[in-house]
Amino acid sequence: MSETIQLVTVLVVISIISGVALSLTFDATDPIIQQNKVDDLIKSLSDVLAADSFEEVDISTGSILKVYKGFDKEGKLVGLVVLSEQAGFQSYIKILTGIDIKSRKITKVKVLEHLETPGLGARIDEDEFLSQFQDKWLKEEVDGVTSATVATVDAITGATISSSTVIGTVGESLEGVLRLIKEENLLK
Amino acid sequence: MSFAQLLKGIWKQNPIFRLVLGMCPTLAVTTAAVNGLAMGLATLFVLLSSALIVSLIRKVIPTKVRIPSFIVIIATFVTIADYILAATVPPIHKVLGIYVPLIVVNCIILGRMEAFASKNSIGTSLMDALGMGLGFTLGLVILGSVRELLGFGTLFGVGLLGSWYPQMLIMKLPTGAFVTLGLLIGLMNYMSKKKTLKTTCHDAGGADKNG
Repeated sequence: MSETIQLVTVLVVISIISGVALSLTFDATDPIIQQNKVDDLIKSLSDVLAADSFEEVDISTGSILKVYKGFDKEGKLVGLVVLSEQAGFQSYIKILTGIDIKSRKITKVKVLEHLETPGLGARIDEDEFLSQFQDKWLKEEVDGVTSATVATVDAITGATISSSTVIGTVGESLEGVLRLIKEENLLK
Repeated sequence: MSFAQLLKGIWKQNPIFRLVLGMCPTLAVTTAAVNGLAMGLATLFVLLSSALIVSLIRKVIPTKVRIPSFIVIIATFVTIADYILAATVPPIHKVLGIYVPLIVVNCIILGRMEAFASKNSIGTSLMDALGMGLGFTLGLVILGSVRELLGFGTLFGVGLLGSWYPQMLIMKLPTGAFVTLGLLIGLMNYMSKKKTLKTTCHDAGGADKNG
């Protein structure tokens, strides 16, 4: 009996000490980690759309996870950034699509997260592939957008599935944004 | 005495090439030299801190609950390392991903605690942990360097081979890790064998060269 108590006491003491150590470390590092995440997101958003500040819009439909409004210095809406996610070849691919409101063109597409095959599917995050999306028109016809985008972007050799996921997701983001602009008055 | 404890982890009992422990992170994170280095240093940190605590309280821990105690201590330091990596070097933390939490179940650490730190004094245990950690780091860096050089033509992110170099895809994939590891272990065996043969020959007065 006394042995049991000893075993339990030792384990409890060790666990309590480790719990205290962990919460101290968490307190010290968590603000930095959260700040890193925010900085990361803002940096990624600024990468795809030249804006001074961003505001999150609480919308998610289909593959669209989030929409961010981008404002310039005077607080005027300059464009939208769509965060969307879809299954690729072996992982979920997270994509940011920047859209300029005035010219109605794609400013830039960026792959945020993926775990695709290195050397093949992983090349979807390279500029050679992504720069093809630049300046593609955002047309008013909902169906026209997807086909137009898919038709004019070349897939990466050996990575058809990863490439077409990106192309399809960007197309869906455009469609979704067009619908949201119409239905929810996103630009107001 | 203590110095021998340090050296054995680097060469004679190298965790990767000799003990063949901790293969999961070894094969997975060594796509680039810097990833191997970060993983190795994180493991070194966990090994050192756990060895310190375990050897410090080795007489207090009852034999029956030693494994759960070790695991809690190791897991604590792994989580601390994970937080620190995430706070200080987010890009590397992102690449290492799931493999940092997996240090908890890395056989090297529990193995050293069970076989060494729980039976030896603090100084000796720290030397052993330092040696094992450095040996592990060294192995990961060598493996990562070979794979990065052949797979990407770079070393620690610096382009050594020009753009003419046809990057070897196989080196970026797990296959490349297995092949490289196998060849390196073979090389190490060959080197040690040669050394042993020489001493044997010397001892035998050079009589039996085929031995």
